[in-house]
Amino acid sequence: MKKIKLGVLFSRLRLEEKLLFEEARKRKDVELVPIDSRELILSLDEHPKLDVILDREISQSRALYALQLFEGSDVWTVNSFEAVRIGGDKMLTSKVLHDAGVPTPNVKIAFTKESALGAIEEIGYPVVLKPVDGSWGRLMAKIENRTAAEAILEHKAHLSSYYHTVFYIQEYVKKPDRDIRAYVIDGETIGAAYRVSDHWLTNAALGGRTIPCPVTPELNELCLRACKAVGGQAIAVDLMETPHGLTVHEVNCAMEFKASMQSIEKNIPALLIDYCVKAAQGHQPKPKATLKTGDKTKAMAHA
Amino acid sequence: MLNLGLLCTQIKLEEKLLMEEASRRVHNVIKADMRDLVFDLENYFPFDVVLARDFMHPRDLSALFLFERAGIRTVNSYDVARRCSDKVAVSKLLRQHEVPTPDVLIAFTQESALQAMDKLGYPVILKPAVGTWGQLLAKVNDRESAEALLEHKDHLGSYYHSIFYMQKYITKPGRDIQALVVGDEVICAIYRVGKHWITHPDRGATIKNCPVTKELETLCLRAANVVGGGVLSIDLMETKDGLTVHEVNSVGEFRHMLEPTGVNIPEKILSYVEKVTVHV
Repeated sequence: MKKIKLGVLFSRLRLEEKLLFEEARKRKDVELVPIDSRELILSLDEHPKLDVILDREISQSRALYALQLFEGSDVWTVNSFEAVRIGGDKMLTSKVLHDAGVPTPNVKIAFTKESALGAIEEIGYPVVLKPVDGSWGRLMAKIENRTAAEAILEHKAHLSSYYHTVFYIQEYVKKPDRDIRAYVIDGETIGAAYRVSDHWLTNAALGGRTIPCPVTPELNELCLRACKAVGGQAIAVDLMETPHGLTVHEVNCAMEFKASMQSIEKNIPALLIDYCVKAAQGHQPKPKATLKTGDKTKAMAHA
Repeated sequence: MLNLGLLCTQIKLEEKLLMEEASRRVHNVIKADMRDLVFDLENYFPFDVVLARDFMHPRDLSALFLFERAGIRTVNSYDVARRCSDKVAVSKLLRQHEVPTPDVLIAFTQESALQAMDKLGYPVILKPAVGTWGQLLAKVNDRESAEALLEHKDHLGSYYHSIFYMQKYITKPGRDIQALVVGDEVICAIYRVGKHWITHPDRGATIKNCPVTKELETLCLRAANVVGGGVLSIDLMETKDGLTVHEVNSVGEFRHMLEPTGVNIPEKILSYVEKVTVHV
């Protein structure tokens, strides 16, 4: 039997990557090829002798450039460049979710601190200000009043990355002291966990703990639609419970899952490797993101 | 008549000329300044088309994306502007579609970037993956300067500076070529002649008209097509093996091309904008 050559793109070996490597090495039909992005030198004619690449890169920009260059060849990528591009940008994610009819919190986008302040006051306090490219709850700010807004906007305007001059302002969703992290792999919501915290941010990186969350038909349906909207193959979906039902506030491509493992019965690393093998064997058509712009017919349909 | 949104933060000569031309064609020009714009998930804008004039940093692209999603035609389109704002994407697309383009290596750390430069052989051009013409471009002549530069770059902060884009240095005959493509036409081209390795008017380059030969035309149209087409500026170099395309950008400044070429560039751009706009 021909072995599936599985590349895993990474730069830091977290518990997740260790478990994935362990799982891949157990398989007789898989040859694991770790790809450390810190050692990568990519050319314009990149033809990796691999069947599939699983992106576990912690840096969004590295992941995007590596996937972009790998995708010129025949190698399958999990997730695709397009999905990582959309999922890694909260503005794009909000818009594609909204346009696909997936419930998602209201947001406003502004580009200067002055217009951002106007947008914040239009939504009404409290609001949540997020970096469009952030993770782990980094630089997320719950803003309660005008004084706080002015101080935070002023500081944010001085951060160096271009991305910090996109002001992504989200209505504050009143939720119980928990939110939901669900995992979608290969068109199935394979498990979910509540992330519980006294803090409004429930990220595991900030000390949120997890307890099991049943995958109801409502949760499953929303997660699958969110996954499809961003063109994902194996992603995590973050949801909040509101009086009007569930709302999706984020999707994550090279997702962390160590904090959820105790609350989810299924073996996430094993399912990820299973999916990569299946994708490499060509059972999956390469999913296309719903993000297609610059196309006249589409523009007309929207008009 | 079109409701034409002009997306720009500054009215320079180019914008003035475009606005004059638009008025001549009785369009309603509405200036849209990124600094005043606020988008939500369901916007309405009073534009039929938006002509983006600012250099599209990643953040500015959000605006084009949201305009398009609101059903407005944009020139250039979001996807084209997005590709053009990223040198890796442009190089990759050119190579993938067999348009001659210099060799490029991409690395993500100082150590691997240094190895990559050794591999390409000096001199090497180190470019920011995202950036405007001439900014932070560096010709790296040897390993010592490579080491010093990489260390400085590492301290620049923006995460785009941790994407190392390294291009093989091409010896050119003291000049390069800039051509403008509007839709399916190469409307004009110039030689930029100068002693500095960056042949740019800001670095003292002089401008001469460059005849649009069949070879130049074919190559420029192919280069424009691979990024998705639109209003594009193509930079080319003459090598012993023929022309090679080193950059494709959304058209920004063009004042330096007006007199030497005698082409009415605003007229060409506006007539293209009319052609691609879906009349509502």
